[in-house]
Amino acid sequence: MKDKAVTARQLVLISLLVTMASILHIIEGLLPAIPIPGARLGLANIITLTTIVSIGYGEGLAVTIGRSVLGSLFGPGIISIGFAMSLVGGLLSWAIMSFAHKFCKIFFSIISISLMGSISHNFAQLVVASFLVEEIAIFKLFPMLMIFAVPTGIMVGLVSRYLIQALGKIPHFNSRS
Amino acid sequence: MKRGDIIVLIVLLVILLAGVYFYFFHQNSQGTIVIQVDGKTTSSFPLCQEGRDEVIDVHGINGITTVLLQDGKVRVIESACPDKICVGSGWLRSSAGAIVCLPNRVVIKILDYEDKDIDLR
Repeated sequence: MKDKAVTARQLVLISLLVTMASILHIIEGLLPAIPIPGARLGLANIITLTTIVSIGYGEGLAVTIGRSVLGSLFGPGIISIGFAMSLVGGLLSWAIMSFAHKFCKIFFSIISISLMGSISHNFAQLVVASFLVEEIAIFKLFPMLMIFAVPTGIMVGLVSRYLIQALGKIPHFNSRS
Repeated sequence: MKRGDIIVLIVLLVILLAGVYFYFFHQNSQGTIVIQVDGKTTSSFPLCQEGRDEVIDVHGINGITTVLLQDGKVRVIESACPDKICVGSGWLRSSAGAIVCLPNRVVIKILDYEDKDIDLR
């Protein structure tokens, strides 16, 4: 954020992004469950990644928290395993993706950043799951989760790349560059 | 394709190969099936026992998880949870992997050797 105060334009922009991410989150929850705890498509990650790359890190954090809370309210409820998993996973993947974008932008492409995000999201979800059942053996599922995380991460990265290109043409959207 | 992408690809490939090794070259017939509820071991069975076709009920947090034990494999056939991820997990045959029912806090895992649960923790 360039200004200290949040302008109306920023507020509207963040609200729109939170809405889109929440809807993707809810749609994802309606799809049939993949038989591994924590495996998801990560569609909402498209919006998080786009926000981080084209608007800013703070806005990305707002979108992550907002969509976890809203998506869980419309889905399984706020006190649920799904909420804890999506919030912790979202926060870790936001942190990793922001770090990778801030310090290694020249080094990594958007697809790589998205892959790191989806893998760290799954990792954080396994951490939450292992705390819930107090069993470390859950991490044996990590290689299995990777089989889902890698294709979905690449897909999310591709979608985000085209989305960022398209949104860059809209004035006031691309406030970073 | 940037330079960092190649590093990411190599790391992914290494993890993938490790996973393949882990899942396909890690078979053992001398195992123990361990069933845990909320972090506490409630029952354990030998992995291999010829002609076994046993159905047991595990009392989880939300209800009963029905587990089917056969010779060298184990699966969940019915569970009192909303998402049925544990039922969809299918058969568990080796120590690679685990069947987890998060809403019911039930974990089914296989130990490579007989009753070494305390050592592994």
